[in-house]
Formats: sequence, C-alpha cells, structure tokens
Amino acid sequence: MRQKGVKTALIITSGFSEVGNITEEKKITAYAREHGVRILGPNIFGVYSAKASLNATFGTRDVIAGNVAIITQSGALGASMIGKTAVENIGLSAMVSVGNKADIDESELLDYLVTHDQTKIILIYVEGVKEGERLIKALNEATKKKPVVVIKSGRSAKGAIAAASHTGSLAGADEVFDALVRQCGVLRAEDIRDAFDWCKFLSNNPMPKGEHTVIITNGGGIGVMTADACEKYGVKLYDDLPALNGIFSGVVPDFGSTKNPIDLTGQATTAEFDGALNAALRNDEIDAVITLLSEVAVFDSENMPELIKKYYPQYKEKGKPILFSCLGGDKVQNCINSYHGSGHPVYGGAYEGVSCLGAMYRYYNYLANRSEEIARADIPEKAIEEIVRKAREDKRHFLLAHEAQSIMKAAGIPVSQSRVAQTLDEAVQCSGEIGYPVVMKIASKDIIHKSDAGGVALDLENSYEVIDAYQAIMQSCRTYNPNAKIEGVDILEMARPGTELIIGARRDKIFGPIVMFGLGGIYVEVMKDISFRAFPLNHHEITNMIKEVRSYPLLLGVRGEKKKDIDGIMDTIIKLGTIIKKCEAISDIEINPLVAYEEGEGVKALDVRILLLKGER
Amino acid sequence: MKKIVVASMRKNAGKTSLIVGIAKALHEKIGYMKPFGDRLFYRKKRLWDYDSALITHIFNLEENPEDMSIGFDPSKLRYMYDTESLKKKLHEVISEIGKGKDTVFVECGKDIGYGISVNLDAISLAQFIDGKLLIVISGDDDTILDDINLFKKCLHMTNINFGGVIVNKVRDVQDFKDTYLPGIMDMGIKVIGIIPSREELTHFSVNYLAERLLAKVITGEGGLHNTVKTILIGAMSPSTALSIPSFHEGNKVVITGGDRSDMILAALETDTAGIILTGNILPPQNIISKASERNVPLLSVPFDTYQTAKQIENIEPLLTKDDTDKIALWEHLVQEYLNVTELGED
Repeated sequence: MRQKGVKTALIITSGFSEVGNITEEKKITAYAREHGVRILGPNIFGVYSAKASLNATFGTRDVIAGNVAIITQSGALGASMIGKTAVENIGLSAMVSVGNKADIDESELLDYLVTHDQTKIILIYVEGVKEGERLIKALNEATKKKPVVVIKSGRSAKGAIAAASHTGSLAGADEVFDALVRQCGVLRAEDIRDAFDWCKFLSNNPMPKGEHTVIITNGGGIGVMTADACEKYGVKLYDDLPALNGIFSGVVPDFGSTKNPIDLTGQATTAEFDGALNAALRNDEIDAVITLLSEVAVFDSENMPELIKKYYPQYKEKGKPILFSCLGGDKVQNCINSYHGSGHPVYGGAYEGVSCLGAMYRYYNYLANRSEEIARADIPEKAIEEIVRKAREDKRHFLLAHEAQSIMKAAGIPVSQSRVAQTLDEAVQCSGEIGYPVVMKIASKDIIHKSDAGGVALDLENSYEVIDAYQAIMQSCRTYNPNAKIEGVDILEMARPGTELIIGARRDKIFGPIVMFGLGGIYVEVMKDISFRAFPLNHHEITNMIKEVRSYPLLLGVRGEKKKDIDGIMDTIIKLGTIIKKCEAISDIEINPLVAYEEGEGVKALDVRILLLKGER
Repeated sequence: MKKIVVASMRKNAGKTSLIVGIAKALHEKIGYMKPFGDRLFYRKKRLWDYDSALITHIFNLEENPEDMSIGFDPSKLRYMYDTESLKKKLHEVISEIGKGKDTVFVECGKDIGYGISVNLDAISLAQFIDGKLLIVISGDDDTILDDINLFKKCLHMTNINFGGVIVNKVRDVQDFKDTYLPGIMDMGIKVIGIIPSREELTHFSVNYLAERLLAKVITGEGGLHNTVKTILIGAMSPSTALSIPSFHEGNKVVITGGDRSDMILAALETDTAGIILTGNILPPQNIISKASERNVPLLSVPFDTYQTAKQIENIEPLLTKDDTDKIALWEHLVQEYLNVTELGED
C-alpha cells in the first residue's frame, strides 16, 4: 500500500479486539506502522467528508453538507446518526467511525478537526476511553476554538467497587469521565436527541455577549415553567427590574408584567410580540431571548411563522441567540413542523429550547472563565522520594501513618501531632508528651479502614482512658482481622472541631492525575458528596470543584457559623495534586478528615493515607 | 458469702447462661465479677465486659459493670499489677461486690487456661479468692470425656476447692447418663448436672446481629426484634432463589450486595427477618421504602459477602437482657437437670 502512496487504510472488517482477537489487531497495526501507513478501525463503518465530497460509509447516501463533524466509536449508531442528521437537516462537515481505535483515535481526530475550517461543532460518541490523558489534552485544545458535544454510554458501569482508598472507591469510571470532560468545557449530552438539538442550536445561533436572558410570554404558567427550566439548565434571567420596566413598559399592557418573564398577557397578539421582540433586540443590556407563544383565543397563530421569520435573522445578525417555544393546536403544530429541519430554533415545549440555550451558556461561561494559569505548589520531591524508597525497601505498597504525616509536613500541609506507641507503656507516655486530650488509632498495614475495625478512640482525657482505649482497640482489631500484623497504636493530638472534609488525589489508570474534594468523615462513601477534576488545573476550576459539592454552604457558614478557610482547602488540593503529579511512585493520597477552621485559621489533616503504585521498584 | 468460680475447658461452653440459670434457681442475693474480661464493650470511653453488663441488668445489681473486671488485655495487667498487687486488687473487688450478698459468682475467661500468664486463669482465681471451682464442659461425647480426663489429671496438681462438673448442651441426657456417667463417677469426678441442648437457645435477634456486625440500620427498625433462625447468601438470581425451599422459610436473614436490588426485592417478597447489604452500597430509595413499609430491617456493612458470612459464622448466640424467654428456660433447665443444693456443699 505504501508503495502505491496509500497513507491511511480504513479497516471496516470486524472480528478483532472487540471479540478478543487482540493479537491479530496488534499485528496489523504494527505492520502498518512499520510501512508508514495509518489505520482507521478495524470494525468501522467508514468515513464521510464534505470537503472531499466523499461518502465512504455504508450509511445513507443523502448526507447534507454543513458544519458539524461527528466522531463515533459505534458503527451501527454512526450509520443511524447519518440518517438522523439528514432528517434533522443537520449539515455534516465530516463523519468518522473510529471502531476499535487500533491506531487513530478520537484525540488525533480532534487535533485535526480543530483546524478544520468547515467544522464549527464537533460531536463525539464514546463507549470506552483508552488514553484518557491524551483525550483530555485534545479536548482542552478543541474547546478553545469550537464547541464539543460528547455522548458517552456506560454511565451505570461502576469502575471501582472495592478499593483501598475512598478516593479509589468513589472514583467510578463515569464520575471521573463526566467531571473531567466538563472541566474541558465539553458539553455532555444524555442522549442523541439532546446532542443533536444542541449541535443544531449551536451551529445556527451566535454566541451571546452576556448572560442577561429575557423570557417574553403571553402565558403566566408557561412563563414560570420556562423560568424553572432556566434554573435547571443554568440560564440566568435578567433581573434589573427598573431597567426591564424601562425597556418593556411601552409594549406591555398595564395589567401585564415587565418583571422577567415579560408577560404580555393572554390578550397579546403577534403585534405585541413584535413590539416586545423589537424592544429586546434594540436594547444592548439584553443578551438572549426566549419567546413563548401560547395559542389562546385572541392569538393570531397564523402570523407566528412570519414573526419567527422576521426576528430570527435580525437577532442572529445582532449577535443575540433567540428561541421560540410554541404551544397550541394545529396551526401552532404546523408552524413548528414548517421550521423542522430548517435550523430555526423553534420548539414544541419549554424545556427543549432552554436545554439548548443552557448548553450554549455552559460553553460561553467556560470560554469566559478559561485560563491558561496553572495552580502550582512547591513540594520537596527528594524528601518524598526518600520516604517512598524506604517503604519500598520494606516491601510495602503503602506508607505508615508517620511516614504519610512526614510528607504532609514537608509539603506544608498542617497535620496533627502524632507518635507511634508499640506498647501500652509507650502509649501512656506518648499521650502525656503530646498532651491530653488525645486520639488513639490502630497502626497496622492489614487494617486500612480503622473505624470499621474498632481501631479508633477519640478524646482520651487521661491515662486511665488511654489504658482502656488501648485494650479495646487491641481486642477489637484482633477480632476484626486475627491475621493482621499490628505495629502498635498511633497517638495523635485531638484536633479541635471544625468542618470535616475529604481531599484525595490519585493516578487514574486512564485519565492520569485527578483530585477529589468533598464532605469527609466516616460516611463519605454513603453521602458521596464529592467532585473530581483532572490535575493540573487553575484556581477558578478549584473554586468550581469546591462549589460543586452539595455541602458547599457549610463552608460559607450556616446557623451563625463563620465562613471556613477556603484558601487553606484550595492550597491543600493543589499540594496533593502536585505530589501525585510529580511523584510517580505514589498512586493515591487521601486526607480524611481534613478539618477546615474559620477563615484565616487554616486547615488540619487528621488522617492521611498514601498508597504506592504496585509493581514499581 | 459463698464464692463460686465458674470456668470451662473450652470457649462458648455456656458459663454465663448457666450462672444466670443457677442464680435464678437459687433465689439468693448474688454478686458477680469477671476479673479477666474477654467480651469487651467500649462505648463513650467506658470499657466493660458484656457478661458483666448482662448480669448487672438481669439481677438489678447496684455495682458498675466497669468495676467487675480488672483488665481485658494482658498488656494492661502487666503494666499495672504484679502477683501481689493483683491478689490485693482481687480481694478488694470481691469484698466490695460481695457486700450483703449470699453468693458471688466469679466467671473465668473463655477457657480454663485463659489469662494464665497474668495469673487470672481459673485455677489461680480459685486459689487466690479461696472459691469453689465449677467446671462447665460441652461438646460431643468424646470431647466431653477428653476434657474430664484432662481436668482430672490437672486436679491432682492443684490445691483447690473443686465443686464439680456441669455437662452442658448434651443431645441425649439419658443416653449420656447410661453410657458415660458411671465411668466419670468412677474417676472420682462429681457431676452436678447434665443439661440438654435446646435449639431455641441458639437463635438470636436481628438487632443482636446488627450490633455484632457493627452494621448501620438503614430502615425497618421495627423489625429488629425479629428472630433469626436461618442465614442465606443471595448470590444467585432471584428466580433461582425463589425456587429454593429454604428461601421461603420464615425467620431468615439474606446476605446480598447493596446493589442487588433484584435479590433484595425477592427477599422482601418472602417472609424475611432482615437483609444484610454488603459493600457499604445502598440500594435505590424505592427499595429502601419497600423494606420500610414491610418493617424488614436493612443492615449495611462495609465487608464483602464472604467476610460478612464468616463473621456471622463466628457470632456466639449470647444471652441478651431482652431474652426473657431464654432466661426463663435456663432457670427451668437448671432446676430440672442440676442439683443446686450441691453447690452449697464443700
């Protein structure tokens, strides 16, 4: 093939790695590489290119040329998507089926499509990710220039049920994928319908200049329902009431409302809508408009198509997205049908259109807040490597509590004072040295979840309580795991109470370094109030990941409490991420709990767990 | 004040239950201590032995269960006492507990040698406090004979006040009496009771199971008193499970993964005492609501199914303070099968 000048071979044939025939697939790929030929597939349904007027697929022949590029891992789904794009009148710039991704994968295609002038939007259907780090990098580059919509199946597959760290067990494959692609500004759709709606809307409407959205309606109920949809999809409604009154008072009747939604009332006809849409178009404070047309007795539904035809191009020209949601009988349905497949943003319900506008605003916000800044921290790599080396010599795949604490101290993360006691005498002595009250925890490489084993005693206020706790911990842990090698107990300073959080960092097998933040304590796996991000990341994204958890209000202070030290939390996330990024021998770090105190008073790591990559020497 | 030291040759012989039965049958004011605790409970920084707490509750004793044990771990006893100070401590505790009592029961650790390195084994205790030693023996017939022969040999080496042997959990009392008792008597060992085994004494409640597994009760608190007779592992498909006769028996507990909604529903469709959800995985809310409606406790544990089953296998069906039927049965068994008057004789 190479002799004939063939640069790329498309292997449509199936029966390779998808059915376990990995050897033959590898053999073909190696042979092709040796001869300078790139492979697309195997197990694909072909390629379509508008620029080359080439439809080398076994999908439908009626492909409309346009500006949406589709990359799909599923052949059958890809073929049916081609058909669907024709029905929906979505023009395609390219369609590539990647199949088993033996050589060319989504990342490489993304790199290509970013510079592909005909492509304005990229839609990807993914089933499994092979080289996640590379994909994230490619997505990051692509979303700088054009929106990327992703559909990924397999949400329900739980990546890691039982893992040694909470971060590991909570980091299910889909949770991580979802968080990481959102971090890249990717719009993740639940299904094909959403994905196509978004692509169509994004390709046919201009990006807004701001977030002031106005709803113009002739029905109160549908107006409220749409306001709910805006809340759900993150579309911000313009709420400067005097300004809104100034813009719309001339076109809204006295018994209507100029508060957003702008209620023209049930007496409105297309003439009133014309006035309101004209006012919104001319006003520079309004950035997007949702038009709700409900068919009531006095409404002249027959003039609806004309209204849409008049304003959609004007808004487009002015750089303002607009959408029309129409509800009613035959005339309304005919109007919707007449615009179906035209690219005009006309919808039959409140939520469909707002979902599209919401997707557009997510991308808008991503671009607005995108930053090349990377949050960095100085960490003593050599000191960490030395601790890791000693653990390796000891043939361990984890660090003991005092080793993990040494790393935290070296990285500048405050930890509670601690000592290791191998006997009861030492436990009493260490407690006295640290100062009461103290915490006692079992020290054993064979007991990872200490609370479950009855291996933790809190708030020990004197030597008698230390003696009782020591006996209780030893007995409970011996019962929990009779074969456990018990090194002794860790005696720790009893930290004053604060908000208990969990911060983790791990080297994900597919996506590389990731960080996790959430509500900590012993119920972390039950509450699952956590967020993930790929590392490195910028300060804005760290703030987002903190805000994303349901318990975020706790950090702002509830029931008279003061705001917590969010800077300290951010600093800890950056430091853990930096350690996992730079120290390749470490697979997992987890602080649970990290106690956050009031603003300015810092944080304190009470329990730190560090796991090493297995198999590395 | 009589001092009766109760020991057993092997663990789980039924010492505590027998003490309860004997104390009830005696109708006397009793005291209790367990110098070397082995069933420890640690709550709110307080440490006590389960058996001490049980007997304190059943007999409304005024003393604190925490004061009925001297230690639980050899490390503490070595750290705090030598032989002389230990003896002194024992006498202090027993005189305090024995105030105004007719009989004080001193229960030994899990088996006859338990605590010997810290002088709190059965023989040392009987010698230190000059108490009468009762030995509880249980197991199959051959084990019982082995244990009696072993004890007979040990008896020659010690200078103790030996009260006799109680043979517990015997399958056929009359057969045992006919076949083995004459030989035991010939050895010069006094047998003061042969107690039959009763299946109902081996059952426990779902609440007891939850406490032992340190499980989180997700819902169905109203069903925690349900009696557990059978444990099943729900690893198969629901249709297979439903075709197994034991799956339809009442008073069963099913162990299954928290994500096995199908199996949980199948268990809820039949007469189930409780469901143990492994792996710290919670089922969907609709399943939890269904269990709540039917008052079937859902217990969540962090372990996998194998570990959970293994832990349950090791659970002893201990008497609890709420087991009034079992306590009454023990009193009845003691009255019928044990010569209580011999306990007072030297």
